[in-house]
Amino acid sequence: MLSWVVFDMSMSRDEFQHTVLPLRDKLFRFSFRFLMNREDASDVVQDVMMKFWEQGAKMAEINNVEAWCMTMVRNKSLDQLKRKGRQNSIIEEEFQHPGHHQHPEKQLEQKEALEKVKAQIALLPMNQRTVLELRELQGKSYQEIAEVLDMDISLVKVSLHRARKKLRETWIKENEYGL
Amino acid sequence: MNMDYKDDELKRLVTRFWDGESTLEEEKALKDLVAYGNLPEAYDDLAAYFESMGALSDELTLDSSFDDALLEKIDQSEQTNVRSLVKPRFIWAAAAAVVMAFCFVLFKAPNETPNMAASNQETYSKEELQAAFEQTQAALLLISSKMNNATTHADQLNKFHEATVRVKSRK
Repeated sequence: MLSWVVFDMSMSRDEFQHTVLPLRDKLFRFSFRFLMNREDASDVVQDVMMKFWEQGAKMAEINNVEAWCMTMVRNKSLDQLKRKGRQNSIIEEEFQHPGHHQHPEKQLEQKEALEKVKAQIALLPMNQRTVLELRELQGKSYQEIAEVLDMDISLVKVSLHRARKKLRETWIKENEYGL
Repeated sequence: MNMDYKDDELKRLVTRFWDGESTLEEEKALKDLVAYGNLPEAYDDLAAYFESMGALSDELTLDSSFDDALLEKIDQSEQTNVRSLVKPRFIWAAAAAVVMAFCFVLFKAPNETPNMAASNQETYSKEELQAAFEQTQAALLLISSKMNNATTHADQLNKFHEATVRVKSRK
């Protein structure tokens, strides 16, 4: 019996490398906002990308690859949280406590300031963290955020408002800025 | 880009930002004001906020070892999966040839003597010929439907190619 490749509609390795793989950092940061753990977030991203690859021809029906991946990352991250018995993930990533930094150099001041912001973001509720990530770091619209997080737009705006307000208040307090 | 904002207009923009009501365009306008140093000192908190967000995007990244590990997994899965589709189209072509040969044998009027012609006419009744014709027609329809699947797959291949082009063009 003769056999030959007739209709293999799967994405090629090259196409995957140029289309899907470049999304890894965005997906990683997004997962990290849920899990607050680099290794777990990396595993989630790898699982999602493998799933995309294994779906093969079915992926041809997807119009927006990034949106599909973001939704999958969200779902897998939430599953991971449930498995580990955490709904509001606690901080696992070890942020250097600002008090440990005693370096007077200006460049280290900036690093210290960044560490403070990271620590503050880690303390935010999960909804606020993820909305912040999608709006501030990925530049997504309210509608896009609502779709990815399966959230009402009004809740997106409220979460964003609260997150920004919290970070602002912390900065003002630490800088004793005239209020 | 208009960098000239009146005080009250700027205040309104900044308030909308902190309230989580600003549009992406308004936020970009504010970021540009910060980038060009056109934001009054009263809004230093906003400038610090944008600076922090910018720095954060560089903090959380995956290094090249992630890519290597993932591509290795993909290569391994390719070796174990059978990715070729086996389509013995020739079988359907052979079936079509058999049916056509059957039709030829059935309906052909060979070089025959009048006696043979008379005896052949006596062999198959009109109803039998009609039944044979209908069965042949059904067989040919089945074959054509299988071959139509090939056309459908080709269409899907085209759609996939178009989707790939769309995704790439968005990038």
